[in-house]
Amino acid sequence: MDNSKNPMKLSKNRYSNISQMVRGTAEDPAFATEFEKRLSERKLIRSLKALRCMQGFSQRDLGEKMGHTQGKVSKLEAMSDRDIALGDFVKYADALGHEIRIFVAPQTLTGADRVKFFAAGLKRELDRLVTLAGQDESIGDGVESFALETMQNLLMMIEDAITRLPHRQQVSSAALQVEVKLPTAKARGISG
Amino acid sequence: MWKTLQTDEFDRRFKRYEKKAPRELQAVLDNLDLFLEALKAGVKPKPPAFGFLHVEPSDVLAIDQKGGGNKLAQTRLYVYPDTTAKTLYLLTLGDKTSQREDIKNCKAFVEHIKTHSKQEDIENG
Repeated sequence: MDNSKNPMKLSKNRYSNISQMVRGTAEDPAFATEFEKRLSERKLIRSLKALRCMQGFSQRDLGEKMGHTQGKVSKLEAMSDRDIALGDFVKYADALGHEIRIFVAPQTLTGADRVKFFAAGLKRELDRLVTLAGQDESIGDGVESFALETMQNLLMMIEDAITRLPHRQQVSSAALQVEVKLPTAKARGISG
Repeated sequence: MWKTLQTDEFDRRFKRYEKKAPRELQAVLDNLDLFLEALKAGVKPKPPAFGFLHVEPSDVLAIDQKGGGNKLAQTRLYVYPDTTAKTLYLLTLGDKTSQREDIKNCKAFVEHIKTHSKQEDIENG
């Protein structure tokens, strides 16, 4: 097909997110900074709006679920996080079948602190599952299989993060291999 | 992972909007960001839910400025999501006056991309 009359030609720049694209395209860096600020000031409401769109609900649909008009939903979605009443956030999330969870953390929290924070959360949730299993062998087997799967996924995530560090492409996955010795069902006194 | 790829026409218009209509540009980019996140999440965006989305011929989609603030001029950012290559083509930006010509050019360009990628598929077996 002859495309010679079309004014469009592809440029070579590829971006994996819009903030990067704006940073790479804008002539004035202040424009890109303003865009990043706009996104960061509306993080929570934007993620709820994304959830609404992905679930296929229009503003009118959601308004009906919340007991509001479409106009009110539109107004909420245009606001910044700090201007929205907590009750409205809760109501919005509830209408989408979600709940708002709030973490209070020091502003000085480092990236490493955040990883430790989520690791502690992971331990807490696994402990909860273990407690839930109690003495029930079949739930116990389910929890064990889930825990092993989680461990494998975590190792893969960690390995992926390490190999993306500069000059670490050659890191052997052997360095991350963990030998797991669990008592077999027979050793636990369960007959096949 | 989805990536964006832009035309030089998009580049030119972006710079023009940056100077002449920065609020409108911020608004459509905000919606574009949401649209790309949905694609990354594996969602096929449907126009009624994504109130800022319009379906044009040849799988071209137009993202408007809705939700971006009060009294914004009608603005359209034309994109083409290539679901096979996981590439979101940013085609051009325009207003109501250029709409007809913009859609015509976007449609021709997307047809060109589709033909080109079909030929590549055939060549690559």
